Amino acid sequence: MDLSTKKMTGNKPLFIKVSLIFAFIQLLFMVNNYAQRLSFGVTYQMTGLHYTHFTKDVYFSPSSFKGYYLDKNQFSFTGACMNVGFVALMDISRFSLWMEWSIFSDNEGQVTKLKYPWADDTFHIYYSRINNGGSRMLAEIQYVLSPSRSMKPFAGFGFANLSPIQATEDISTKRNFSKGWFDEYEMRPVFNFDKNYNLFLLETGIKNSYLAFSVRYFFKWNRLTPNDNFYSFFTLSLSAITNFSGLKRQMLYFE
Amino acid sequence: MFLTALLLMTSSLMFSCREEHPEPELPFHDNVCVLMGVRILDYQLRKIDFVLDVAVIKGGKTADSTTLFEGLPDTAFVFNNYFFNGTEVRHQVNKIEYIDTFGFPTFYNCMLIDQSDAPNSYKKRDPYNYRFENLNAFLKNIDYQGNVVLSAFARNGEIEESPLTIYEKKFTPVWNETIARNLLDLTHKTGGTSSRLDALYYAVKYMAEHAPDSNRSVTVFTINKDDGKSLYTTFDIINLAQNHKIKINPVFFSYTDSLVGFSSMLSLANATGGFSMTGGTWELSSAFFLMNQLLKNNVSFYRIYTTLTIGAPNWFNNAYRSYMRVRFDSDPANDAYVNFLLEKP
Repeated sequence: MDLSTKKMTGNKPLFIKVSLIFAFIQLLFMVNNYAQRLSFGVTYQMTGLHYTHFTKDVYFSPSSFKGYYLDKNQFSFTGACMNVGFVALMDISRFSLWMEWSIFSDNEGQVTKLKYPWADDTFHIYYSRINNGGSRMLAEIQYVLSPSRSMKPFAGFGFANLSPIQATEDISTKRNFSKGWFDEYEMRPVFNFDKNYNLFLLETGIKNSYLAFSVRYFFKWNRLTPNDNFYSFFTLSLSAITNFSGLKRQMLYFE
Repeated sequence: MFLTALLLMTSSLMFSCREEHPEPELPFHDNVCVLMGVRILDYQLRKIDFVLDVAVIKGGKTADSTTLFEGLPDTAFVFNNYFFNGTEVRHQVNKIEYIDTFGFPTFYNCMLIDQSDAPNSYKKRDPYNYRFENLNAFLKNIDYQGNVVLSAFARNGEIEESPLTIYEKKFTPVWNETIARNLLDLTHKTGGTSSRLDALYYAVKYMAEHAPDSNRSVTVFTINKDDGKSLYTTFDIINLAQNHKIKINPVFFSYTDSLVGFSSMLSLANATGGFSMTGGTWELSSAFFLMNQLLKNNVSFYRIYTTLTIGAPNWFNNAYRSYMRVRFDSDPANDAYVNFLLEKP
């Protein structure tokens, strides 16, 4: 094993853990002092277009001795992927801290097209489909761009951690997966969908005190090594939130 | 309360469902015979006494499940009797021993791959690119047991240098992506004619100049016989290989003599002490798991003492090519074959 990779994926040093705990306490103090409104809600999201950039155009299977060619840039559209969860929202002036816990089910998840070479410059096309599901924690900072409107446009960025409960992979020669091989282990190691992974998040949409509509773009980049593949997907998000407390500073929740 | 519940639910889902990495498999797992050597004890006009050393590999889909066949009965080894120039050539097994060996601690090997265009398209012989899988399996299982360099040959074909291309120009003791990539790309680089003898000569020369003087060999994976345009002869190659103690191991991806030309290659293996095997790319697949052991000469084998009798004397024949099959059960489809050449010393 490459020692540098092992080092990077090892346990975090103690001082980083302590720093993170202090940062979290600092966040609580900040909320305590500056939060102007606390809301709760539910959210429903549909995952749509996946865009993946592979750093290499060849891939060697870990479960067989096959080698595949693949297009470096791949798009796949998935239909029945959903995500439902709970939301806690804190407003601080035009900023909002959006925290979310949800469960997701990606039944038609990441699809990758692979080309297995035959002799005489011919290829056999395989499709790999990874289905995964689990829980997702998300923290995001949103900024209201135009507070005067009733439906306020906003933009945000954040961070999500996904904890898969299950991840399976199907391989098929047909794009609709009408027949094929199931529970395979070809592309899963590339995406690491069967273990915890982190995603960055960019979001834009509109919201008021009760509803939020948005488009989210999740992406993963250089998670382990500089050669790691770029993985991303779009979601459409619909959230209903309560106007739980008034628009004033209050001290109820962290004392 | 809500936050507590949230934290509890989250922590309950924070475990990973990471699976153990399954062991890679090859699609087929036939039993395979490898001819480790032929020794002539007595060569007469009507009778040849000889010894065949044959390793029998018990096929497995994974490296762990591929082992050597032990305890085969004498009746499992069946020679092919045939007619030559109108007279019958018969074999009689005199004695069979099972020999244990220890071999060498390491090896230096040049993998020499035939990239020439086959007369009947290679696509028909290996439609699923099992050759790549087999060679990749061998590479993935090297794991510091030896050192290997990848090369390919064809005359006026698609590879970079005619008649021989040596990739990376350095030995590797472990699988690496560059070599595997080169190997995969070779799938698309068939073309031209076979420069087998020239390529072998240059490969032996490369080994003599670059590999340490310790258990060196050239393994040639062949689908075509030489095109007749080579500058070097079998005799030149034997001389060079014997001078530098380099073994030549032919691997024939065909049973058809007119395609691969068994005799000259078997003669190279006999003269240099190399092993040889014959079969389709998928029939030989198991052998690639044990290629490390074969290259280290670290395989136990059956030593078969045999007498070949010729019905009438043939004054001009200095070599007899024959084959033996090993029967594992009553189904002839499961037989494994050994091609061998008996040359007058």
